[in-house]
Amino acid sequence: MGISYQAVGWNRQKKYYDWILFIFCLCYLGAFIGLSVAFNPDMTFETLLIRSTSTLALLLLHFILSIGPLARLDSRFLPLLYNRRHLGVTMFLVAAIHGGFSIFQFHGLGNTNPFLSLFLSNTNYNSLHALPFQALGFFALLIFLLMAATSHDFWLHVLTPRIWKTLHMGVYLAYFLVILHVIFGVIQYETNPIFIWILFAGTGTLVTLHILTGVREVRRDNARFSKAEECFVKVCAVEDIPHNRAKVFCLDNERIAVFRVEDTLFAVHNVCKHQNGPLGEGKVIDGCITCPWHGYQYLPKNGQSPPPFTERVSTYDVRIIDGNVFVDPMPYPEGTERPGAQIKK
Amino acid sequence: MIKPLRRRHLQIWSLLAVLLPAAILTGWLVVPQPATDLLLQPETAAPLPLLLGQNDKPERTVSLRAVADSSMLQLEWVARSPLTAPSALVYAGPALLGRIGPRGNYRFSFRPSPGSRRPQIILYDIIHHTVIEKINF
Repeated sequence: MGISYQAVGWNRQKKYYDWILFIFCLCYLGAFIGLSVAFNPDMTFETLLIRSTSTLALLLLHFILSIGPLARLDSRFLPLLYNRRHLGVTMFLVAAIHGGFSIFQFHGLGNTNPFLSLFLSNTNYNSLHALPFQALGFFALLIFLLMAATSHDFWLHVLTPRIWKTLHMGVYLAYFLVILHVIFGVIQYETNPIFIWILFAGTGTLVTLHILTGVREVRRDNARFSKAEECFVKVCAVEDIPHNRAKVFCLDNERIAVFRVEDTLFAVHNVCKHQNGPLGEGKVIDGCITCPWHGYQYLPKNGQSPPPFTERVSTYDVRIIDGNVFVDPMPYPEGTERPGAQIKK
Repeated sequence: MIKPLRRRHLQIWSLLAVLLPAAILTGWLVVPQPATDLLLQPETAAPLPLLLGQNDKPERTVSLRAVADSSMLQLEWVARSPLTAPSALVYAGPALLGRIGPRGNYRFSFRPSPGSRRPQIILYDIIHHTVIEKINF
């Protein structure tokens, strides 16, 4: 969270994370090229580079797509979510090296424009076996380029979170195109069935994680709470809410996070104004509710970001009766101060 | 995430749960089968027991073999290095026996002609129409 835009809001954690990522990429490329040379010394450098970067990009893409559901299933993965955009841009750069060298090797040495050649050298669009798989990869790379170019918060504000998020959900289309690119490309020539099983394992893991998380979220949204006096709804016992953390409840189709800050409970809307992150999965740092995704902060009593920031979320009334927590699902306007509910000892 | 976004994610992944395996299976099914080796001539027969004659050179050994009653002859050609002629045919007298190609063992069985029990063996370059070699046993 920063008041002015910087190219990258570097902090110690981000630098540490990026160094690990950089070293991993180098080690992977080195190991891949080393093993390929050992088993197939006739392979050219261009082929080695194309193959090593393609497998690295595919591995990174699977990892990136698994971070979201993993962070929802286990909060220990949240630091990965915090740095996911760096991972995404790295994946794009690796994929761009793969695409660039492929276009140079297969289309750059003729007398036709390489990009024209990409689409015209194979026009077997009616054949599955000989499908122009390179075009599929090209379109996937184009989506990744758009995502990488607009990954900065500047574009989030310019495009608005709704359009930005819609654009970035293009990653799923890009992922599908990448899988088609692989299955109708290299799989048609590399006859070893191990590649099919690796692909099945990768896609299967992602689908399982996302469906599992999605179903769990639907269950949470559909949880029923009994109404008590006035409009208040009983949600849980006081001791169910950990110190400086929250529990999230879906009331009247809205998610509400009930935070315990010292001996007071406060309820705020669960959705962060930055990127719709789940505030209730964050914790209270320096007296502020801190979004687990990108560190945006809000004061628990009024849902306002501390000055000079201007983000605000809705607040709700909370009560404690006989050790049970009750929440009024009717929201107050964003930034409205509420007293919270004092926990009696 | 807001509820519509959560719902959209679940819808997308439900769709991908169908499309991804379908795409992978389809791709797998259309992988072309590897081309099978078609032999131009039957597998090499076992050598016949009786050795009638042998002609030895560093690059090859040619033997004429037969069954005990000599009713069937066999030309055995052991090529230690490939021929320089691209297409060499081997004849036993006027009868075409087969083709000699890269390194390997070649055996051609044939019936002896009434006039000659030990026919002349001719290696012939069919492209240049030249006789490469004549062997007499």
